[in-house]
Amino acid sequence: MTGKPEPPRDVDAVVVGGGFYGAHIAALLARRLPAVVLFERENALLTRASYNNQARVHGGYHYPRSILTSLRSRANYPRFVADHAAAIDRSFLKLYAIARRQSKVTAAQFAEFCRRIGAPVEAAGAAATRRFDADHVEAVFEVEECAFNATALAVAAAATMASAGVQVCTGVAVRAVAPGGPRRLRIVWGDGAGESTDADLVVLCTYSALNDLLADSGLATVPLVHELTELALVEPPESMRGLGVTVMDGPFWSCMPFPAERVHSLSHVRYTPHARWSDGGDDGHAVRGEGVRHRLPPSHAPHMLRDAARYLPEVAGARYLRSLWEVKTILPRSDMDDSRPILVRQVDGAPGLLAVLGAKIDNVYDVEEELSRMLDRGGIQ
Amino acid sequence: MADVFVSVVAPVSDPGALLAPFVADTVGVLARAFRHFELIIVDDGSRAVTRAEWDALLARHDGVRVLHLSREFGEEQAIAAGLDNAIGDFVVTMSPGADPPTLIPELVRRARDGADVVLGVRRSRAGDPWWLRAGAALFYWYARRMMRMDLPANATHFRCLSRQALNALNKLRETGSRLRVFSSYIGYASASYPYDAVGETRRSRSRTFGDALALALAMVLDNTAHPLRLASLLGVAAALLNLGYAAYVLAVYAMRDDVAPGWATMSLTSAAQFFFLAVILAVLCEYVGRLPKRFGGDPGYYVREERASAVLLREDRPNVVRDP
Ligand SMILES: Cc1cc2nc3c(=O)[nH]c(=O)nc-3n(C[C@H](O)[C@H](O)[C@H](O)COP(=O)(O)OP(=O)(O)OC[C@H]3O[C@@H](n4cnc5c(N)ncnc54)[C@H](O)[C@@H]3O)c2cc1C
Repeated sequence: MTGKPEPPRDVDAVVVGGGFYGAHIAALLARRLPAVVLFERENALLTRASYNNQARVHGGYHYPRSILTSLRSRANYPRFVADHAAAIDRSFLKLYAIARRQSKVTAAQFAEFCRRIGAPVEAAGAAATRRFDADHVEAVFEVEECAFNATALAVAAAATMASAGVQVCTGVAVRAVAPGGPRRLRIVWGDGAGESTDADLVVLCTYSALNDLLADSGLATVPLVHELTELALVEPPESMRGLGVTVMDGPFWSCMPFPAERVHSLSHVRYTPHARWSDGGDDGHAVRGEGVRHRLPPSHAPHMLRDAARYLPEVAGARYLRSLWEVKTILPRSDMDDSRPILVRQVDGAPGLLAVLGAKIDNVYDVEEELSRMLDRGGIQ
Repeated sequence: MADVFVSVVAPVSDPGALLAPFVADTVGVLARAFRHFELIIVDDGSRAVTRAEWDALLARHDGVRVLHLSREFGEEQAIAAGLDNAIGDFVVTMSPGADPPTLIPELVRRARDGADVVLGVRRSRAGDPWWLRAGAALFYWYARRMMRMDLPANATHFRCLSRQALNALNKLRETGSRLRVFSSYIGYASASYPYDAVGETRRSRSRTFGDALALALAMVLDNTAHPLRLASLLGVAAALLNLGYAAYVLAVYAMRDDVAPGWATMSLTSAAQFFFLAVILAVLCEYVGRLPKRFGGDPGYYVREERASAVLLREDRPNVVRDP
């Protein structure tokens, strides 16, 4: 760690994990507390799930079977777009195509759903519709959605950390968090023994590695579901440069601009997830996402490209570049039924320790709301 | 190893002990022969196979997809469902138990050599009962003579379609029972591939007389208006006959004045009339009955659920969540 400042040994609050969520939460805490430090084990901010994703700012269109989720997306969308204007790319035509077979919604249902949640939608023109294979696609809609540039988000996050006075320690992995010491909690980091920081409040924003850290700390883990995902980056054919396509609603795909690299990303409901496993709670903690990420299976890009070309023949002209592999982590379905699909939880047996599980990028506002409420209620127990 | 993507579509309906070895053999053959492949098992309403058995298959083998149809729709519709879902550059259809997986690479090689459609043809029908053989002979003769379609005799479900041929076939939408005929009818270069089917005893389903008749009938009716033409010809002939008869009666009536119109002649005339009418109506009904199926956008099958292999974490995976 030559040239880098040593992490402070005593602060008010520590945020572990420098993804989009960790950075946002650190800035929020710095508005209330004088000394806040952010630990990130990679060498820069926003390099993991916050970079390795489809970069879609959800406008609500994606969940035609869950009005509530869609309404939240619709509520957060304008705010996110306004807050991150410099990172927003809306320079392309956004088409949602409804598959003719095996779609869980029909074209009429989709249009009605958009109307109900107040999402702008109109039938795409004849020229746009003709680009699709009529045997595979029932109808095509033009919608209002956009993409974010993950690199621009990372640059903005670094600037926000500086202006908010958050001390950022990249390249530092936190190994355990335990109650005790002069403050409420002690954070052990680095590779040697004994290097630690004491704090009264610690927020874990480590996403897919959340249970790794909890288990290593001897604390109760959270029931989570993980997926090893593959997002293909492709050089689109010239005709698709200004086009983002999503085929709904079932085992279909989406190909849209990935502004950070000026290429297109291609994801597929059937082929993007390579494996699924669960951990935490009663399931124990046997598989580590980091281990899985280092034993990658053969790419599914040929599958994605071939299937996509059945719906939109011009996809056949796309050239595969490489894949972004990431562990995606979500709450088990049972948890999602009655609560919002975000997690902000006080960890049992460690007063002052909070676990946050990031969801879609724009859900950060929901987490912020929840966290502010907890802090206002007289601090974290 | 060939650098193509091959899809194999295999319909099953309560395959019993056949399933596991079939999947193992086929995946083994595909993995050795092709860089990319998928095996699509179309579960045509099986009841006896438990979810745990399907799970075990998906956990053991990579590249397997299972399409569970909502009920039994029949082998032809099950294949149509598989074809609608296959993503490969070349798509092979086969009947598990009857068609040997080891022949897949050869079938695909022939398709890659330029024939867009390769039709497997059984070398002998020795295992079939006499009525099926006779019926098949009659059907192929009729197709050749009356429908002007040169169907290779004894063609089976073991076939390989190129992506272009499959797209054209899918466009026709009513893939159901027309599958056999259209494969050679859509105008792509086709070739036949003679092979020996494995013992019929392992066939997962055997055809009853009714099934075979229904299939032949469906194929004829779906592909040609020939029977309808025959019926109208019959109608015309009957009308002419009637006309002649009426003229004869009139002539007799004019030339002789001792005739009392006979009750027998009258009833004979009307009986003949009604006979022809009935024939015509029957044929018309067959056609009319097909109209809603043809124009109603009925997909012909419904997929209840689709699942795919997830084998990556086989060794160290204590608790994999299976259903998405
Ligand atoms: C394939 C895919 C597609 C997606 N598509 C979209 C989309 O289109 N739109 C959308 O809004 N969302 C999408 N998402 C979801 C979104 O990417 C994530 O939910 C979001 O990035 C989570 O942000 P985060 O900050 O919680 O996680 P991360 O960005 O992963 O941040 C966690 C950080 O913690 C660090 N860390 C972990 N353990 C430690 C430790 N012990 N010590 C120090 N640091 C540690 C990691 O290095 C990492 O940087 C997608 C996700 C995937 C996987």
